[in-house]
Amino acid sequence: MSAVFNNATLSGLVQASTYSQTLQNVAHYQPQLNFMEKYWAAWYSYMNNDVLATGLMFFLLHEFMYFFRCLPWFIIDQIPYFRRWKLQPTKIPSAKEQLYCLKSVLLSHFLVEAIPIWTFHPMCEKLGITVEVPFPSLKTMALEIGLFFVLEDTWHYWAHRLFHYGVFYKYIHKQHHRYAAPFGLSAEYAHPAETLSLGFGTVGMPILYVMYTGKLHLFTLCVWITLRLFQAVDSHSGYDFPWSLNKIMPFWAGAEHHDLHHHYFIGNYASSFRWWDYCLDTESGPEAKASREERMKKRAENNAQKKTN
Amino acid sequence: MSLKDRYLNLELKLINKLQELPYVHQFIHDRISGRITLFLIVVGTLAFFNELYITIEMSLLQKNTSEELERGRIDESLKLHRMLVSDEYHGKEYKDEKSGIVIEEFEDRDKFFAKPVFVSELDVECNVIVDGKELLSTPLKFHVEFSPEDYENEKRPEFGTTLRVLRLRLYHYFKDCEIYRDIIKNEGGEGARKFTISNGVKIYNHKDELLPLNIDDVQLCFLKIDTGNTIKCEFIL
Repeated sequence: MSAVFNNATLSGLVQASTYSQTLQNVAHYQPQLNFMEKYWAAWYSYMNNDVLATGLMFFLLHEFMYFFRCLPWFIIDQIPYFRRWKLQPTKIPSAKEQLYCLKSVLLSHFLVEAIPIWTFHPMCEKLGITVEVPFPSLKTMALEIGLFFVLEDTWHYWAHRLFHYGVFYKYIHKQHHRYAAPFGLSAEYAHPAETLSLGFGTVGMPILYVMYTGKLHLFTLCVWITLRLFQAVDSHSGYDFPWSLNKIMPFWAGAEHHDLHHHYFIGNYASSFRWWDYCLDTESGPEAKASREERMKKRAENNAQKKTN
Repeated sequence: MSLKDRYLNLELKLINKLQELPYVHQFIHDRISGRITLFLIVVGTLAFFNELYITIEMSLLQKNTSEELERGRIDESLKLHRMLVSDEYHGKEYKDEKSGIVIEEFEDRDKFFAKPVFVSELDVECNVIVDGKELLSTPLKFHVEFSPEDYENEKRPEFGTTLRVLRLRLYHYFKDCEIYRDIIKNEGGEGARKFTISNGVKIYNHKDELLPLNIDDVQLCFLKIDTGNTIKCEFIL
């Protein structure tokens, strides 16, 4: 029995042999549910196995959203018209290279992500992540997702900065920096150790949140992961349009921020926001570099001491 | 018994075994979920070993290059290092006539991982030598960052900055210092004439080996210098 209704009688009433019939039953017996809630409830009722329902949904959600978001960038890369907004216009990855990246990412999805996704639902049950309907209010979801963005950005900043240090770069992170000019698919082109480490920011923060609050809905988690995937792909797209989000929200990182990281290598370690790099003086780009250089020279001179005879 | 039946029988046995395993049994409620679990275990295991093999292979390539450079001598032969000379270690760009797009073709993965990592930043402890004596009890410590502008016009930009850039950078850092101006004032201008890039800036790598002028065209990553290292420099006046 699915936990979506927490009512054995109702679950028995809505379940049918096909998904569409189940959906009709949900609409009939639960008319107060909104559009998305009905589809959600129908999915869990039809599957009648929450482990299977959650696992399949999450895996398909991840695959669909990731590649759905990458596809426009792949198309745009083939059209010279958009070159005016390309951050590094002289570097366009070939279709062959993007295909290679695609194969690598798919392998990583099966190795690194499929198994954790499949094992996710039992952990949800233990932690208190619910699947029931109705969903939380939009305000609650917005606040939670906003918090996840902030926490993930913090984790990403420090973990990413670590991956630029010594052996962590040489043997792990170097793979991701194969592309000095990133493209959408390269967002998840990384060593499995890096994928797991940085991915903890995406999945681990909601887990810590629910451990602290005892309350989180799986739908909120789905929305959060979708938005996070969009953010990751877009930041690697290599394009900065006049209507990009960072033009509206100056503290939003966007593709320009991350492209500078790939181009300059030093700095711009955060994922979504600019404030960590700004506050800790790790911004990329010629202006930031020149500013750091001036301060460095003054500091070096102040610290140097002549020998006394 | 047909092949299909034998497979299904084997599958059933495996699923039943999985149902007895701690933790794994949580994911098996029926035949479908059992098959998914079994599939993920099999595919995941194959993928894991494949990825592990790739990781080990690429790490060994990187390690071999590092060890080779560590063992090597600092001399002009570095200019003919195979990774600098051979085009197979480098990507290439060409214009696709059909679409008008400039396409970047990357080098093979094993070649990419074999290449040394370019040096992006360094700490340099600099002392001033006047008449053969160290002038500073606490040396000048410069943190040097390199950016694509420093090497994008090089033939092999993937390897980053050359020694010449570092030498020139340090020369100008020192000339901008109050310490330098004080020395010149005391020397009456004679020190300024003696202090040149070629004669006045001695750079040592991470192994404290002096880096001669004749290898100024060689990238730092071939000279036993890694990102984040602290190296020494002497300004000779």
